[in-house]
Amino acid sequence: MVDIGALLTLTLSLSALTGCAHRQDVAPAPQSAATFDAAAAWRTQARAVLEEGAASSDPAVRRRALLALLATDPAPEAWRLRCRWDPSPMVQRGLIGALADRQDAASRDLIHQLSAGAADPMTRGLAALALGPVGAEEAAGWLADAMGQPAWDRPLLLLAALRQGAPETRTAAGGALLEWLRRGEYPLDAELFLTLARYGTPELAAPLAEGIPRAELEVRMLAAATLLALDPEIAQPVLGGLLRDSDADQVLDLIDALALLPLHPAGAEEPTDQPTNQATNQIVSGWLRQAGTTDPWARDLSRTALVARRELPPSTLRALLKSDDREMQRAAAESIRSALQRDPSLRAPTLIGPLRELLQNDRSTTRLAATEALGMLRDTAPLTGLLEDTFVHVRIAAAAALYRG
Amino acid sequence: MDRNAAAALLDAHHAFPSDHRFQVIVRSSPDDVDAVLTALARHFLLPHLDGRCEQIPSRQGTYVSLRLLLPCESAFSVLDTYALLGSHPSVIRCL
Repeated sequence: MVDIGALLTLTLSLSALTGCAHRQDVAPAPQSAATFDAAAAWRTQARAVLEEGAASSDPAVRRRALLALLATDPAPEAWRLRCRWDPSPMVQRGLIGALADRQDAASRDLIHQLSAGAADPMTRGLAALALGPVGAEEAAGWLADAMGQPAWDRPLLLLAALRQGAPETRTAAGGALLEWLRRGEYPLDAELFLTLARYGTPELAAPLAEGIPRAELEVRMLAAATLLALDPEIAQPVLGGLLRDSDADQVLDLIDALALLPLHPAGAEEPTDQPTNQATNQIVSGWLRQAGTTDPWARDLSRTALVARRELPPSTLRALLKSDDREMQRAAAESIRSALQRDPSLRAPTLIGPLRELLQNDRSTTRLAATEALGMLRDTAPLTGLLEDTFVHVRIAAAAALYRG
Repeated sequence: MDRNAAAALLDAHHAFPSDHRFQVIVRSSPDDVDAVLTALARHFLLPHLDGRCEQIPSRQGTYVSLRLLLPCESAFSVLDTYALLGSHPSVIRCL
């Protein structure tokens, strides 16, 4: 498969950033049960790995390490500032994502700073959307900002103005955004689509459906998944058509996209009892039933999407973690990771053994997903050896889990 | 003020001079790719970027991802490079 992450902004997959390196030179885990001193030593080593990553010259590595430190350090303020002033839009966008669901004044102030002062227009738009209620004048400013940018930089600023502007601002922003969606000249930017799926409105669905056939292959299924979040009725025939003509790569793209798509319908606040986007899940479930009669491969893949979307328990995928199909192993591991990220209270003791086995997998993305899943299951002892993994993102993921403890 | 704060943090955590990685997505027309590479070579006073740029085309060939390893003399050099890439008319995304 040509990994979608090869050209997108990191969100979907990191494997293509460094290739699928074989794991070498992995340090052995301690033989005895971890004593307090041993745990403290591993934690110190993990912190060093994270700090080294935070000082990397590679923005994808910096982003992962800085966000891990931001999430785990008892004193996160320094890491917030490092992210805020990092020159890479990739890092700044990660900070917005990390702060978006917090209600504290410091987070809001930082997001506000980025909505006005980030150099990258898409970052400003993402911050504007995460900001929450603002005055009509500020929303009008976003519209003016958007219209001063090249077309590919406009959509999130337009969406923010559409959501929060006075009527005349909403009309102008909506018209420009709908026209942009119709053209289908979408940048290869996964965060753009995930943001549209989170903050979009049903009126965006029809023009997006028009644009999808012209979209570059890397984002076509992601755009179709976004359409599902915006309006399942419009999406269903579009998705059906795409699936009829799709190859294996595109089916895998769709599964990846469905796993990442927000669980709640577009534009809705995520409720605390975590109801899912039922329409989307019903479509995936229907596909599962249909595919199960003809194509076990498609059935198994759709099951991974449903686990990621919390429609099936993670234990459903135990056999797939041991599959001979390496793509299936990767999809299953990533799906379990997504489910755990969405509900950290999930427990899956029967998966710990198969996930541990995947730490030896020769595919870096599979190791990464297994590492993060085990970290969330608090099964950190097997991760100590991965602090010297050949893939830097695995090292940082292991370090984040060990540092968090 | 923003620029100085960003430079100070870079200086505190990176040694200079050093190579820094940048990634941009541009349209795959030769003119667009050449325009970006020429601008960068001029900015870094290099005759060319051979060995410093990996090009990965999208599946249909509409876009190309340029992964660059560029020799930055200082924190301000990193910031200037992001500014150059972010404002270049051929760059669709600077990551």
